[in-house]
Amino acid sequence: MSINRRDFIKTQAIAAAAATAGISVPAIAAKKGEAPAPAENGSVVRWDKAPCRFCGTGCSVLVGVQNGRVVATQGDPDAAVNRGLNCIKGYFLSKIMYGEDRLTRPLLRMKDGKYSKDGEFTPISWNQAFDIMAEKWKASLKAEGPGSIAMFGSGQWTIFEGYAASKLMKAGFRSNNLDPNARHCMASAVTGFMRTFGMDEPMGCYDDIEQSDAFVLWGSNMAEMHPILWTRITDRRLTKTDVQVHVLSTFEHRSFELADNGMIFVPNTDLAILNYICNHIIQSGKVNQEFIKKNVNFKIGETDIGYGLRPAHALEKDAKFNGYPGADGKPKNNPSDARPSSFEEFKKFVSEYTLEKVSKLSGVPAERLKKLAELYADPNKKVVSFWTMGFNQHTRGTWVNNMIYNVHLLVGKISTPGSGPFSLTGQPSACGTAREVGTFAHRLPADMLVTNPEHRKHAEEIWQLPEGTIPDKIGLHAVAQSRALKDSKLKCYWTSTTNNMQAGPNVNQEIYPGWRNPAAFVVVSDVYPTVSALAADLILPAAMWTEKEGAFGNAERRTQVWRQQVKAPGEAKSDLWQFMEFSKRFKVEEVWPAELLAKKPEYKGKTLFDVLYANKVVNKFPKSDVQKVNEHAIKGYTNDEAEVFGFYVQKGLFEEYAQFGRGHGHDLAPFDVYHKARGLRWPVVDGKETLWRYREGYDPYVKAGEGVKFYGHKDGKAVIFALPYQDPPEKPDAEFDMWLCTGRVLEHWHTGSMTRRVPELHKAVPEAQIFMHPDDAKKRGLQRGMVVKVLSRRGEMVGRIETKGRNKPPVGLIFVPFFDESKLVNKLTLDATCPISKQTDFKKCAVKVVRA
Amino acid sequence: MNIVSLVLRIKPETRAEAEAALCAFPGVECHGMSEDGKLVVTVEDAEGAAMSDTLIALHRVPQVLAATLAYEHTNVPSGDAPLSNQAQAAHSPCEEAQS
Repeated sequence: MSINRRDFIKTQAIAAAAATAGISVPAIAAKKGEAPAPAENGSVVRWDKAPCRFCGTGCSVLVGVQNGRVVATQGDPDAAVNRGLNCIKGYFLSKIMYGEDRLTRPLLRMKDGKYSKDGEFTPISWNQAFDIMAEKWKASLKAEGPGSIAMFGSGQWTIFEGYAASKLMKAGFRSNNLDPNARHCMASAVTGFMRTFGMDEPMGCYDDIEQSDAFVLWGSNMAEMHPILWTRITDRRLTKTDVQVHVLSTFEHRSFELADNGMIFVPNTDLAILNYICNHIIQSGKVNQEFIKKNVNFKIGETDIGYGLRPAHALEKDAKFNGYPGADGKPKNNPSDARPSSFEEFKKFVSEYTLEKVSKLSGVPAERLKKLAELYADPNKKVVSFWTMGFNQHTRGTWVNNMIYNVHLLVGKISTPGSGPFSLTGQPSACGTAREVGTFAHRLPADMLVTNPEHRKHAEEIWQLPEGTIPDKIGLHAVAQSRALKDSKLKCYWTSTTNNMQAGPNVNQEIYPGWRNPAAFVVVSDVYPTVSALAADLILPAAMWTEKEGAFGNAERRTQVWRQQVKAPGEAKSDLWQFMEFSKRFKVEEVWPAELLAKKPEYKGKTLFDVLYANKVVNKFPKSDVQKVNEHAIKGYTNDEAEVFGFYVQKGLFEEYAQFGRGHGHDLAPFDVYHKARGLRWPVVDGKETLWRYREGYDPYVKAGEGVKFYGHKDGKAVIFALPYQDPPEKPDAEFDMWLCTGRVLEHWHTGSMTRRVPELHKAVPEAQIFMHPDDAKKRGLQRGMVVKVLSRRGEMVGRIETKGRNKPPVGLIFVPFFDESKLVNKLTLDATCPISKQTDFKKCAVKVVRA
Repeated sequence: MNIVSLVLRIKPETRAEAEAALCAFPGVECHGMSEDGKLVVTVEDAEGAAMSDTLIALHRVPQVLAATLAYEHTNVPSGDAPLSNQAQAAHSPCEEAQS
């Protein structure tokens, strides 16, 4: 390697960065005109686009493939989301598939040559794996019906996989016991949107950032978790002097470094702060009266809704609106119930949330709260509110989502460039797969519900099923699945692309006992031997990311598609292949009752594969289309599913799925278009994507002269809900005297199953630390670096104290990330959920910290 | 040979402290800053400090508000052709490199 070559590359590197920064560096000018350095040898790297595998931002990266291996990734210059930029974690994307312990063969717990719950993991063939699965599934379906099987999926599934799984479960097996891990991260956002707007997902998009005057973060550490969006916010803040950044959290984190107004509040008091802001807006005469008159209804929500704990729990027994069966066996009302109200009533309702009272309750200095309220109230300031898990993982998660909408609706700062409430996502396809495809236990595609007869009928028509195939009962959600396994109500359980034994709540008391229950047969499809995989009975090796053709949908409604770039190792197969291949094991008459089959006698003798996937729609596009659609990018392209099944599986699934949304506000473009575009934001009508929904001129569903129309509700109006502050179900007390909040750090993604296998990221942050205030440490005789024990009523973990780290909790609270499988913080967390969304609150429970 | 360039975002008034903290890492050089706090930095392998490790450490410098990569040149594990943005001109290199 010559010195000249190094100099040349460095000059290029500086020039690239200088161009981004918009500066000229004198040293570069002199070097211009030099011939490019020759490559060290002639081996060719092939580059193609793909959305990043990590968070929900949906950056596009260019994936470099050489000799059948992904060797590099870099920011995609043609992508509107990240504009050629790449974050630190994104830089290491190319390494996530190449951990030394990739799963390459199915593994079954066996003893004496047979399956045994307490056996050792033994390699078997796919044929043997599906044999034992089919045997278990058939026995369970026969003995106890479709309610005894369940699947736990993922916001990291591709859209095709989520759609295929949904058909297999809801139509094939006739069980709505399908839920995604997005239940843990997005469910409150979904119910919040549905309750207020009658339609899911944000109205605005990332383009708001460059047009806004202020940003408010509610329970979101974007600096570490959404670095590319944070960079865009930082650029806006630093280039325009009157732009403000407000950050609210229960502890200080990296995003506070940019904050003009940082606020640490007592857990759960965000509810009170939001009501204070509404009170301030009303009292200062800043309500946009014209806007609310035309576009808003008022309601008062029920409040005695419980905490999503087990029905026998003391906090649930007397709750009148928790929806659990009462003494008569009927559900005790619905936690989502609300009655019509008025602006005057709302004004009175929030009037008790005065600055003085809320400052005292929340611990936030009055002048800071006032500055925040004045920002929202100021008619000349455009404001974007961003939130992630601080809002969603909350026993009042649906409420707090409704309440931020209250604020934006009161002042009309919504659905307009530069202003709006924006729910961010943490998984790459929480929106695309979990929400839009409808892999939740209560949902069907395009926001439709299993409890709505019209919706079921419509789905059955598209899926060519006899009427009555899709069950009308909501299936088991994530936490309910864990409980049902422990209670021996679920017998067959398949989890895929998720790691609930590490990410789910109350692992010790609920999840682990359920999975190891001898009555249950648990299958885990994954790429590495995660905690979940090792707690299963059968492990299926999966293909990941660019080892398959896929599609994700990001937080701004952008659908992005990628091509298969490389082969999966060993016998690892895509989840799509797994679901479709497994469906061949079932004859329709084995899973459907005779009277249902009698409505469609031509299905007799067919397999679920024939009915669900070889239905002349999904298998409509021949294998030759695979090459035709993708020839512009990769010569002679094919993908593994097309080779096995003989048709363009992804295209067929996509086009059938797209029928649900076209003409209903969820329009997707033709499949082929996505293979060329850097994603498109739905609704895509006449080839044009939609940047701001519900507003004339931007949204094709709003007609000329209508101005704003929240068409998710039949009357075209959104709802402002009067909802109170309430205490959480568990608070620190004399014995368990601290709050515990869990979350993430920049270097690791979720349970670390990918990032802990990237040597550089693992080395940078090898273990989860317990972030604590120095005074709390001192009070307990502890020091920085000391190994301590953290205990809750449910379990304990051991870890090292950090008092000077990037996260600075206030006195009385500790923060522990959940990426570290050797320190399972979810042994401590409480399985309390928002009773409406059924999403767990991972942000607050009571613990104590003692010397180990 | 591993070289990357980054654009770090800092508050312009913190430039001196930021550059001092950044340049304390072996293999890191600062090359200039825009008026609004975009600081151009290169990171390369140095004695006892791999580029990739330094890269991760940079974002922890307190003055660094945000960090993005602009240019990457790394040797692939197999020892084949090195990868850099310029190597893929036909497939639209980074916009920074183009402009």
